[in-house]
Amino acid sequence: MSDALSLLRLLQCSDSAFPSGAFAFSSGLETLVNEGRVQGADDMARLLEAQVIPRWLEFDRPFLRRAFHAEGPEALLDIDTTCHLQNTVERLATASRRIGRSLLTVHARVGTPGAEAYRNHLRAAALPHATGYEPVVQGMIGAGLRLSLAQAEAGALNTVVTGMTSAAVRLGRLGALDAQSVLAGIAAAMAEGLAGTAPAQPGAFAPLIEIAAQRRMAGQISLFAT
Amino acid sequence: MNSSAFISLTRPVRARLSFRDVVGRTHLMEQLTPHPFHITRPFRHPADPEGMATLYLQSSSGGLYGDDDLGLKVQVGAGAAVHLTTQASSVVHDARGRPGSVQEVTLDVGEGALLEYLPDPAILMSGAQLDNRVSARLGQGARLLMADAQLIHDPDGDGRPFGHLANSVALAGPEGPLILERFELQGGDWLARTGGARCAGMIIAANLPGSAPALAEAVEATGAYAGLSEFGDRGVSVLRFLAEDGVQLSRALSAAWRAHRIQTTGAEPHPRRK
Repeated sequence: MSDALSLLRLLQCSDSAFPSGAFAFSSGLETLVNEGRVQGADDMARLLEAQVIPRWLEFDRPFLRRAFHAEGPEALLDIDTTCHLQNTVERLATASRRIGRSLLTVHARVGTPGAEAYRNHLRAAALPHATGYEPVVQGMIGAGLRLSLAQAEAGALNTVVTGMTSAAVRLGRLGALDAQSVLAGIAAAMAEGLAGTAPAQPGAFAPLIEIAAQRRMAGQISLFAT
Repeated sequence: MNSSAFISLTRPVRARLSFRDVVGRTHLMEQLTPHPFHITRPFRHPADPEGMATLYLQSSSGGLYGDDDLGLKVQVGAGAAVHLTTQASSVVHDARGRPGSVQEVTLDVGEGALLEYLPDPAILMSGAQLDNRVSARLGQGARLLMADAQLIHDPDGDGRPFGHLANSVALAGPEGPLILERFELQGGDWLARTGGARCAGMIIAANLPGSAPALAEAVEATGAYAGLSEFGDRGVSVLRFLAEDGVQLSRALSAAWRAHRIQTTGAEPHPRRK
């Protein structure tokens, strides 16, 4: 695939209009906002740099890389099963599965190589509560679209970070311009993280956002599922 | 100095405890506790689950040093009931350029047995390096309440963090693996990841249906910041929490244990003095 073509497919998949279902989740941000722990652009930038980006680099990234190199649906299912075992934050795990399965459905519909085969394999395995995790599907799709591993990783991290800033806008904690400033400011940290060596084993320590994702304010209506 | 320049003179130390149910009472049937492991005599309390034995683990060395390599294997036989705790926190001292300490605990909980494994938190001093691994294998119908917590301490107040922490907790049931919780962290990242809290931990309940929400409520009432994940398909709950200091952390652990006991036995447990 030419550089321009792979870049265009990457941009398509990373676009906020791509129907991944990620807009339904704030990954703990809504709780942190309601608790007054995230109030504006500075808090948001700190949260991304100290929690969200490290968690993706340490937990999701190794699964994405394994899936990118996996040969066939059975190997992908093994990776998915391990991801399930290690996803010990229930709401983040549920969000990851819902997004992953949405991605898989859309990519199967648009004919991304490998997507339909893996979707059928998951249907046959009949483990909807335990498979279809986002980084596994992202890795498989990246390989199917013949993106480079670096492109697949950058696209996946970008999706997470822009999803969080978008949630912050909808929660009224960032204006649209503030969100773009946060994204511009955090890009160097994202690039630095991506340039670093990926951990051999997945595993992250981001307790603040992981705990927040599990909390619900009593009597408060939530905008997001997490 | 490069830690790889050191040749470790430390020999691995392996301890073993084996409990068994004998006509409704749990006994410590086998013990191997080489230095620095030390244990108290097991005792019982009327408010405890039937036949339960309580045992305190102690250290005769004052903590974990340099490249200590300590292993503890605990076997709880079918139908036995054990409360296993520590006399105090484990201090993980400055590794002073050595590779760091390894602490590996293996829990084997037999069919229908109950294990409360509630050690005090590890205190990570400036420069400490720790590889902490806990694995539990549960037989059919086995129940487990366990804690795994750390707090950071900078005795000189100069802001020097601990060095490195590798932490893993793995649970397996009769059908295979249930959960694997693992992470690695440089000490300098601790406060950013916890939002400024000096203590972090988790409590895992396996095959203790209905007790987890009460645990979460009790921990929250101590002022700790807590979030509960329940995995009904595997019968496992994971309660993560952050605490401001060691006092709040101890209260949180104690509150969780009391809530679990009230849920499972209907009675407030007798406090374990430390």
